[in-house]
Amino acid sequence: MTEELMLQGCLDNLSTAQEALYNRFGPRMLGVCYRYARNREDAEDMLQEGFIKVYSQIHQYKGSGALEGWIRKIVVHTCINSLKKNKKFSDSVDLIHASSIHISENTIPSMLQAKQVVECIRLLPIGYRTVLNLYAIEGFTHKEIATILEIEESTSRSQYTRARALLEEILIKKKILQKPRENVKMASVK
Amino acid sequence: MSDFEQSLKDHADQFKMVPSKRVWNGIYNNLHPGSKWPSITIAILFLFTLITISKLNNSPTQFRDVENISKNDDAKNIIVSQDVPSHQQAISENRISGQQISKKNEKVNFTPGNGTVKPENKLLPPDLSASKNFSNQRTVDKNTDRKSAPDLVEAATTENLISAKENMKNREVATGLPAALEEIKPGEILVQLPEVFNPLNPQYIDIIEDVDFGQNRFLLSDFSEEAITLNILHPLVISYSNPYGTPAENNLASDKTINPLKKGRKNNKPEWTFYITPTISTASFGNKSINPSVTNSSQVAFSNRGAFKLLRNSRFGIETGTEMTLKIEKNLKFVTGFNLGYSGYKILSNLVHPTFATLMLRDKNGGTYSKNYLTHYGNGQSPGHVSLNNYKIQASIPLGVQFNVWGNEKIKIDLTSLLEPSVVLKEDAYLISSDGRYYVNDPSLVRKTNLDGHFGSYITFIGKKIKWHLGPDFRYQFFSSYKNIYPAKEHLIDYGIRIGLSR
Repeated sequence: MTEELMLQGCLDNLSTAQEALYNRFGPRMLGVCYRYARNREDAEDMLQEGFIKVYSQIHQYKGSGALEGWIRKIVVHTCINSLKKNKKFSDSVDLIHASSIHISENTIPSMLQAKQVVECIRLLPIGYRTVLNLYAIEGFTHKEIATILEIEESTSRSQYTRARALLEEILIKKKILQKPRENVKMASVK
Repeated sequence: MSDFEQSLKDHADQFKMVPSKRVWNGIYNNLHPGSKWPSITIAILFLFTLITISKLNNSPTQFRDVENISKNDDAKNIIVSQDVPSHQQAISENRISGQQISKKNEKVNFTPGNGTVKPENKLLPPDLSASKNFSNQRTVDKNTDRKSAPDLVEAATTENLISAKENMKNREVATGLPAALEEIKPGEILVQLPEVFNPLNPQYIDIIEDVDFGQNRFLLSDFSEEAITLNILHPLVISYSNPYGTPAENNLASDKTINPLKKGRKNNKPEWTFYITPTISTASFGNKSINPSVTNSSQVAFSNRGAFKLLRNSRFGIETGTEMTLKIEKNLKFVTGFNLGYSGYKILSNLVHPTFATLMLRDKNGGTYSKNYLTHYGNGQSPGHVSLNNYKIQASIPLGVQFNVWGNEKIKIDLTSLLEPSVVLKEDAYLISSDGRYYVNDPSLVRKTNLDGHFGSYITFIGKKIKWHLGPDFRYQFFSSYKNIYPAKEHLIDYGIRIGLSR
């Protein structure tokens, strides 16, 4: 089924078209949800809620950008709204402050499986993880993140810096990244 | 964006997971809530249709029709036999005295096998003849004078011929009756009816002795006297128990339904239960021997009386439907809904060479007629054994009450009693022929509407979102499965375990 047919079917509230759209984008969107959620069940709940919003707002899609990008945007916002309902999430974002942490310029080996990277991201505290997801993966600016999460822009920056440093540590521990010299020095000074 | 972030994004974007089925089910149910409970829509539509039909059937016009029918010449025999005191004078000159009737109707049967003599009072319906054995025994001596059986048969035949002539004369006078019969009211007939069927009631003979049998004898002169008397009496049972009995039951049911609904609409929310009941179906013949023959004196039926045994097995059936309960008192709920059921039983028969079998059926006037069928199935077990399936699929509307016996927040026990007017949607029927030797296939003889009694005791387990109902279920079909023209009376019985679900 072509994208146009799917869109038209969804506009006509046809279940076959809705299911086709879900089958095409559902797995990737669940991957997105999984990066934000605590566990798979939560991720599936987010996906379900996200797709219900997609179908109910499908008439707002004008075809200017990629359909996947439009769906992804809705799903991500659904994930954030779902997280914001949880008090622990708000606390975790507010209380952690940035510190002067050196950020290396290492890159993740391309042969690495996507699943390994995502699992490493999921090891981050939820506040860090959210900011990292929004900035590094979704491409939001710190200003947008501040608006979305209802925090200060500086907090978003510091959260991201901390999150990235922590992720690098995890990747090194998992032997996905090599330990840089500077980090070793910093550790010895401390 | 640094290389690290870019590589992180590339990896993360590649990540996919397969969602479980519950995600799509949740989305689908949210997007299409209308298709979630299609049975509710169907049940409501069907409920309204049947309520409308039942209202039309219970309208006063039907009673008028019945009264009109009773004025017709076709129904004359029925009315005459119940019209006791008000018309005695009108027919007094032509009536037969009690003694005369007693003599004419005490017929002697000769059984060649053992040579015994069995008198039967043919004024009684066949079902009651056994209970009259004692009185019959006394009349044997009185009527036979200890004569030999062949002599008695000859004497009875001669006597019948004489009485037939007398009755032909009586018939001419009795034509003045219909005008007087218009004064009869249905209520009076119902009051008198039990006396007619009470075998120990001495008025029985008094009632019957006022009846002019002349017309019947004339119409059915080809039959023996036994056949004639049966033809008069059977319509009494059929015609007067149904037309006046059924509306009375319906009125009772409607009284139950209307009042609770008025209360419930104001204060209570109805609870819907969806259920499925695996059942075991069987058939009852009212503890009587199956007698598919209209005329007991039928030569064939007589000679094959011993073969009137229906070899049958129970079958698995199923019921499903939706039930609405509405609280009317603290522990009492009104129950209605929609039920769909499949029930039946298996007949064990054997393949026979294709042959013609006969069903003796009653016509509307109380007479009899025969219908021939080509059949391959015989009654009995022999090589070439074959199972015949008698079944029906019926839809019904339960109307009744549910009583809460015991309960707490998590569990409760209810007793349910329902009356279910039903409509047969699909059926198949193999009927035993009048000689008891064969089975013939004629679904057209199945009664299309019926009334079931439905009783159950359910344990309800109350969860956070749903309630489970579990318990034994019993159903009894009040009217015979077959139309009144077929003489054998069959009542289906279902036993089952109901599994229900409600919110």
